[in-house]
Amino acid sequence: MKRFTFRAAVCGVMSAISLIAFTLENLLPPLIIPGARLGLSNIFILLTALLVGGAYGYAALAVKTLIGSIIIGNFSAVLYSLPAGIIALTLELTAILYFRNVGIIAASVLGSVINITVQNAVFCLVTKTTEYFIYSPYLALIGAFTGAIVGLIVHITLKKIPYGFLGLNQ
Amino acid sequence: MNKYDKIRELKAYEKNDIFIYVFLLILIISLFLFCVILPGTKKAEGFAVYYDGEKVFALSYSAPEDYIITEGFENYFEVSLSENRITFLFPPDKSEYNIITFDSEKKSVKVTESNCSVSPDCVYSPEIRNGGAIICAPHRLKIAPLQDDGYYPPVTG
Repeated sequence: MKRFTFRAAVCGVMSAISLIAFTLENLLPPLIIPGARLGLSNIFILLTALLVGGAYGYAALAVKTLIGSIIIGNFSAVLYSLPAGIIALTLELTAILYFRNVGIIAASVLGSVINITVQNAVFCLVTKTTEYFIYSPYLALIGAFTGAIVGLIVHITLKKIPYGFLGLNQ
Repeated sequence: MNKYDKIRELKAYEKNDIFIYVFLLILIISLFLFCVILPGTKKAEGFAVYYDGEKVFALSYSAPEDYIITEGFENYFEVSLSENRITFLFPPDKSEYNIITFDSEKKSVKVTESNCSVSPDCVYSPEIRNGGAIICAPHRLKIAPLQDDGYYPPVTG
């Protein structure tokens, strides 16, 4: 029970930080093409999933997407952000934890590219805006770039966290 | 070694990363092929504005003053043309607006001003010429290029 409480608390804090990052990056202009963001909130989602467990990672993702969409005033974004985020996180965790010899950066790039591609595809289908498909490859390239940055930051963070910090090793 | 130790030992690069990068390269090339190269784009002769998926406005670069507002929407929006700028004012109190700027020589169109949200994606969108679209989700607008079979000038005389 104590372990669950501790992990839930860590998940809550990481969700809050992820939400702040999501809100802030939505205040900034998009990266060249609308819909392309830095994805800094994904740093905390991935860290949550790796440090306290996959279920908590999905919980943080749901909190960030649902509440973040309300804060930025675009609740319909949940339709395409949440499924894309779930698919991306699943692929990242599968690559890191179950496939041998896969680095964090490559897994993050994979998740980021799939995330942004699926988001764009669902957006085009839901809003019946097939003209937006033309941006898919450019969004994928931007996703690869931002995914590499996210992966690098997660890797550095994991290395810098002191061993036994907050009792995470228990 | 417990799970936490394994997580801390994860590396930035591993030898199997090459398979992921090859897969992503194939994916990006496929996207370029199927979304950009194969569909192709015809030259745009004008642009259209869609509201809730319905075309409400069309303009030809060769005769911008002869723009068309779809029947039934003449009183819904207030539209004004000034040089190369179109201003759309939305009901009910006409306080919401989008300003669309076009270039008849370059045959391009862009949203230059809008009060749709704090961070208006429609204004940050790059200008469109022969392909793509500009979406203003809060105002439910879409601006897309019109190819030569999409614009019908008004009958005169």
